[in-house]
Amino acid sequence: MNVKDLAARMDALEAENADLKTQITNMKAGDSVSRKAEPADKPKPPTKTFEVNGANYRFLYPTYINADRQRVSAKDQLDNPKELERLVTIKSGIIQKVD
Amino acid sequence: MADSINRTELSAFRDHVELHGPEILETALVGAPSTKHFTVFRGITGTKIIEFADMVNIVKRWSNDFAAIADTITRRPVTLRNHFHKAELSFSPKQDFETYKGFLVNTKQDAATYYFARWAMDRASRQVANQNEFDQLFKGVANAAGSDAVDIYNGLLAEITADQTSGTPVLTPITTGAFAPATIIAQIEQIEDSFDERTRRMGMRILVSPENFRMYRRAYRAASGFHPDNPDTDTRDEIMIDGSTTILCSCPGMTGSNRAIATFRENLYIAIDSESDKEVWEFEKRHRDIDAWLDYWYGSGILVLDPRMVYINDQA
Repeated sequence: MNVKDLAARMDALEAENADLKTQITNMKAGDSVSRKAEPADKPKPPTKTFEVNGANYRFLYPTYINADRQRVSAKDQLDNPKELERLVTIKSGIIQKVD
Repeated sequence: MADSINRTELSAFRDHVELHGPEILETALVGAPSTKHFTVFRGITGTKIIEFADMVNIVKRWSNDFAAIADTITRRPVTLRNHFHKAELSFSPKQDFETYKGFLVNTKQDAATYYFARWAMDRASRQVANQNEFDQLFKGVANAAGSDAVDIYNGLLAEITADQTSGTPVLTPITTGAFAPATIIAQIEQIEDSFDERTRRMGMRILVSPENFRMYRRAYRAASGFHPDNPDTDTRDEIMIDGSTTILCSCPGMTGSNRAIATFRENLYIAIDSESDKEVWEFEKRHRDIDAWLDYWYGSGILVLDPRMVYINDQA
C-alpha cells in the first residue's frame, strides 16, 4: 500500500467518523431534555471544610463565578486563603458555616 | 326589592363580560406587572413540548479539495407547563355599591361609562393578576397537600432553588455576597460583567426585588446624582445599567428575596389558555349575592436552564 492510498483511506475514515458524530449528536438530542445535565459530567461540591477567623465553613456548590468574573472550581479555592476570606466577608451564599 | 336589584346586576355583569371578555381575561392572566419580562404562550392546557434547533458550525469549513464539513443541527425539546387554577368570589351589589359610589365621587368618573359591573370586574381581574404576581410567578412552591394559590406550582425562585440544591446544579452562582447600599452598584455590575457576550446581545434583564432595586437607585443617586440622560423619565421599575443594554428590573413578586435572576425575555415563559366563552368569568345569583368564578390554566418558568443563558447570584 503506498502513501497516497493510505492518505485516501484516512480521509475516508475521517469523513465516516464525522457522519457518525453528527448522527450520534442528533440521536442524543432527540432523547434528552435540554434542562437536565448528565450526572456523570457534573462535579460535586468539595466535602473538605476550611477555616476562616476560627470558624469552619464548607462549599455548597462545585463551581461559582468569582469577583474577577471567572468561573472557578470550589475545590481549587480551598488553597486560596484570600478568596476564602473574601467569601466569608461578603457573606456569600455559596458557603455554609459548619458547627 | 332586593331580589330585583340582584337580577338586574346579574345581567349587567353578564353583558359586560360578554362585551369585554378578552380584555378582562387579559388583565387577569397577563396583567401582573412582572409579566412584561416574560414571553406569553397561548392556547396551552397542561403541557406542551416545543423544539429549538441549534445550528452549530453553519459556516462550513472547506478543505483543500473543497469537501464541505457537515452541518450539525441539534434539536432540543423544552416543555412548557401550566396548571389549573380556580378563582371564586362573591359580590353583594347593595353593599359594594357604597364603595363604588364613593369611588365615582372621588374620581369624578361618570357612572354611565364606568358602571358598577365594569368597576367590579376590573377589581376582580386585577385581584387575580395580583395573586399571580405575588403568589405564583416567583414565590410559588408546588405542594400537593396545599390549599393556597402559592401551592399550585413552582415559581422561578423555587425552580432555581431546586436546581441549586440538587447536588449537581446546572447554574453557576455569581459570588456577589449580600446586597448592601455601599456595594450594590459594584455587585450589580459584577453580575452584568459575568454574562456570556453572545447571550448579552439578546437583551438581558436582571430581575430583583423592589427593595434591592430601590437600594440600587438610591446608591446611584448618592454616588452620581440621577442619570444624566433621563433623570425624570426613567420608568419607575426599570433602569438601564451604565455601559450596557442590560436592564435592571424591579419585580414586586420577588419582594423579600435577595436573589437576582438574569436572563433574556424569550427565555422566561408564561403559559395560558386562550380565550373562549367558557374561560371568562361566570356568574350565578345566590340569595342576595352574586357568585363569580374563573377557571383558567396558568404557569410560568424558565425555558432553557443553561448557565450561559441564566445567571444568578449567591443569595436566596
